[in-house]
Amino acid sequence: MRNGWKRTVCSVMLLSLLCIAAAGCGSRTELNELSIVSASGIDWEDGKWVVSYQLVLPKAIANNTSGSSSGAAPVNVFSTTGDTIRGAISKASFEMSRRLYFSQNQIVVISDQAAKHGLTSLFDAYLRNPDSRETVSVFLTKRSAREILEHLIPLEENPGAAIERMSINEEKNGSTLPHMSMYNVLLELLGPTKAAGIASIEISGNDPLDSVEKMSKTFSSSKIRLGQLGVLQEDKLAGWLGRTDSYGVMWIRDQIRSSTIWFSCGSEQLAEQVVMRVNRTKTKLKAKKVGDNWKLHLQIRVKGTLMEYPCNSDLTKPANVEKLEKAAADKLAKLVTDSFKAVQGLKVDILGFGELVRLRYPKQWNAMSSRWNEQIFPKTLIETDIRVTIERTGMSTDSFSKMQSKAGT
Amino acid sequence: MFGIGKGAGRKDKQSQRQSPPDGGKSEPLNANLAVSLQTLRTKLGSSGDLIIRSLRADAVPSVEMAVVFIRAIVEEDTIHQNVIDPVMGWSAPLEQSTWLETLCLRVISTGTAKLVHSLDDAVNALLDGQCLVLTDGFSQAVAADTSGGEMRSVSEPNAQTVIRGPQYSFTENLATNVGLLRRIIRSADFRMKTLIIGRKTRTTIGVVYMDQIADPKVAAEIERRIQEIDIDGVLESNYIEEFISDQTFTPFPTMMNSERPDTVASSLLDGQIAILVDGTPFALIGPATFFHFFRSAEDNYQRYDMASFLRLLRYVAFLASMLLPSLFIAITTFHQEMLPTPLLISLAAQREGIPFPALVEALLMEVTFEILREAGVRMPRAIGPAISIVGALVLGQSAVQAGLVSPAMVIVVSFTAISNFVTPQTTMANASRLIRFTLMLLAGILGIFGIMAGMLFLIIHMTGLRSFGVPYMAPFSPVFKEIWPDMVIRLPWWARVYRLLAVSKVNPHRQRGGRPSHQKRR
Repeated sequence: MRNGWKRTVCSVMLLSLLCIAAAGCGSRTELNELSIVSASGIDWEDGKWVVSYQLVLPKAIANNTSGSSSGAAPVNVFSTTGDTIRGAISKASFEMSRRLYFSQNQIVVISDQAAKHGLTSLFDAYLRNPDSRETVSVFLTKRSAREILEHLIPLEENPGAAIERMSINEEKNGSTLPHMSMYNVLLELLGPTKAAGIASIEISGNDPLDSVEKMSKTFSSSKIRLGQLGVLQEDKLAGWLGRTDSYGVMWIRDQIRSSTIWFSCGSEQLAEQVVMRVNRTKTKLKAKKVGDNWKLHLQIRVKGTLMEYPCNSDLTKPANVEKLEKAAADKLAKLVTDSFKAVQGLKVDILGFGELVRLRYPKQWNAMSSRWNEQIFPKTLIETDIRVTIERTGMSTDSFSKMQSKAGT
Repeated sequence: MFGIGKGAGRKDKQSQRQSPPDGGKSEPLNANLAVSLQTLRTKLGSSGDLIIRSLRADAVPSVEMAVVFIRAIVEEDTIHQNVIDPVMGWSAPLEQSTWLETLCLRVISTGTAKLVHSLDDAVNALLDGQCLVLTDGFSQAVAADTSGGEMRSVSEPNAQTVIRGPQYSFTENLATNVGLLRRIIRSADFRMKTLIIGRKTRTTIGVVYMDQIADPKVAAEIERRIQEIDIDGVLESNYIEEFISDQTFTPFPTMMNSERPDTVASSLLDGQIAILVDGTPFALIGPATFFHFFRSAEDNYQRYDMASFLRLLRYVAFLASMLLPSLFIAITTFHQEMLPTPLLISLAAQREGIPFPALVEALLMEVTFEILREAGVRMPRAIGPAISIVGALVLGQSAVQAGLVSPAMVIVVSFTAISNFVTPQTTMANASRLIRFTLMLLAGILGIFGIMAGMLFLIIHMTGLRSFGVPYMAPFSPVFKEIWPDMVIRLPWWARVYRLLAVSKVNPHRQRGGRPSHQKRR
């Protein structure tokens, strides 16, 4: 009886010892031994990686919640240089009293210099290390990444998180630029066409908002905003797409979640006055072989609500609504065709076309996959089948001007 | 201990049990009144509260008699009216051969009156509050039951209060308590076994159960275990609880206790067995499974939806009071990535400048709270407000302002403390208090991995526990499909068909059950 009891105690103690060995209390870190990185930046200067960190100063942020800003900036930015990215990060210990904590990192900003040099080592670091999470948002910038990190954002205490939310918000409500997490970037770059599109961040104005004093004004001299779509091929930046082209790419890739489109009242009027909110949309892509060439068949179904309609047609008549729908479809067709051409111009297939070909014609794909981006994709054709349905015309049917003329009679 | 073999000790104990308490063979009373009174006096150490009243019956003034009792454990009015008066006024002739019988049957008019033959019986009768009538020339005495004296009357429950429901509780008097139960359950199946335990205290213990409902084997086993107890005194039901529990080395209680007659009555109807101990208002109830401890008396008295919600809330609160500080420690020192960024930043801001690691901080606050709580229980009632001021203001607020602990930790510790009071049975609440500290240490060393290891250990331990043969985790392990809905939540009354005790195969149905006829859809 007593022997069994002793044995239980012994085995429990042994198990606890094993637990210590298994988990290791060495990984214990108190919160005040951490410096939380909310954003990091990757630059390439003079043949070396420059990694910048935006550290959150918890105290400054917590004090700001009381309303009166304490004068201290909520974040602190510094950089380290090294031959490798992880090497540069490890050099941070020369100047930091705390451990850099990357698990709460919200965004990675990559300068175009770095992106042109090639990002293999960055991607590898993200795949290999458990503390760098693949959920982090990735952005490109045409300036240095550090400048972006130094920029404060009005209303927000944590600029890194704010940029991420800005991008998510844009994708949700405007759908012009994709919100790309590291995971998505890696997924696409590891796909058959080895290409991905990443949004860029730019700073408008010449006087960056890099101190709290500058925030005391009612307007800011410069602002952080989303810019264009950077196109990555393999691990290098291949080129840029403007916002309109990026918008078209979003339509082709079925990434429109909610958006607004403009088009003319009918074929006879050219001014784009009618505005429609896209409620639901579905894009289906199909790869077709046409002789020696390839064709992308694009089927888009859109359902939307009218938001502005200053024209004179009577919308209670289905024929007039159909005319509007046709105009919207034509507009969309032009948009996607133009974007397709623009992407072809970059010779990088970020549309997922190659993937479709690979799935449907695996043998042919294997034969040409290495030549796809450079030689075959730029010559491919596009075929659109777009149908727009206007589900609702809003709370009124006639336009204001029409109602006014009616009232006059 | 001290190198004495276990076997020898046990044998020694057994030999003691066989002889009557405090040894010695039964000595008869002396026929000479003066001598036997002297013997009684010396036996009780000439105690000042031993009252000896000499008297003579009218019929036989020549025969000396005496009434002996101990003051304050008897009702003196009863002695005067039912013993002294009739004996003194007895005018019929005294016949030597039948006098004692006459005394018992015709003279003394108390509830019971019986002959005692030996000195020990006479002393025990005195100590039980009976009064002895001795007659010169007889070596026997008549013991009349006149027990009484000051007792607390039935009052409102202190520890287990309800808003709706009966508002009275047990007292310290066993007879009263059994009476309270009998008044609720007016059934001939109500059974009570009386046992006397305690060499010195000779405490009466009542084992109460319902025939045809409780498992007779369990009742017999409880009785056997109680009879095995050999101790000088039993002052509270916890003495019995610790002796008869299936396992001592566990943080979890395997018997409930209640000061409410209605709770005990409902347990009896569920097939449980109650143990009432003279001298305490707290009755023991067993067998009890883990889920029994989260049932409050009030669950039966309020609507089933609210009662179910509250019962689920109690499980949550129990888990919180056990796990919250350890989870907080684990997440803030090992798994910061689990927190949303704004929360992490706010916690980090609070921790700036705190000198201790989170584990020490939490232990500090928890120990402080436990001390405050203990002080609150022990202190004289008049000092109450002072303690709350010191506790709330000085320790809570000032500790934060002085930068010793972070505000978040104060929130966690206070929430834990409040959660701890939700569990209706304090014994179970105390279990979570102890486990909490162990888990906090595990969390401080190993993080969530440690908490999981601790919880696994607990679950394995709990599934192995038994309460009088009933698996502790019943009705989940093993599964008893019929009763688990009613165990975990509270069903409407018409759906509560099964008696709850998982093992009770005897008479398992409480009612025919089913929806009332007027609610049935035609």
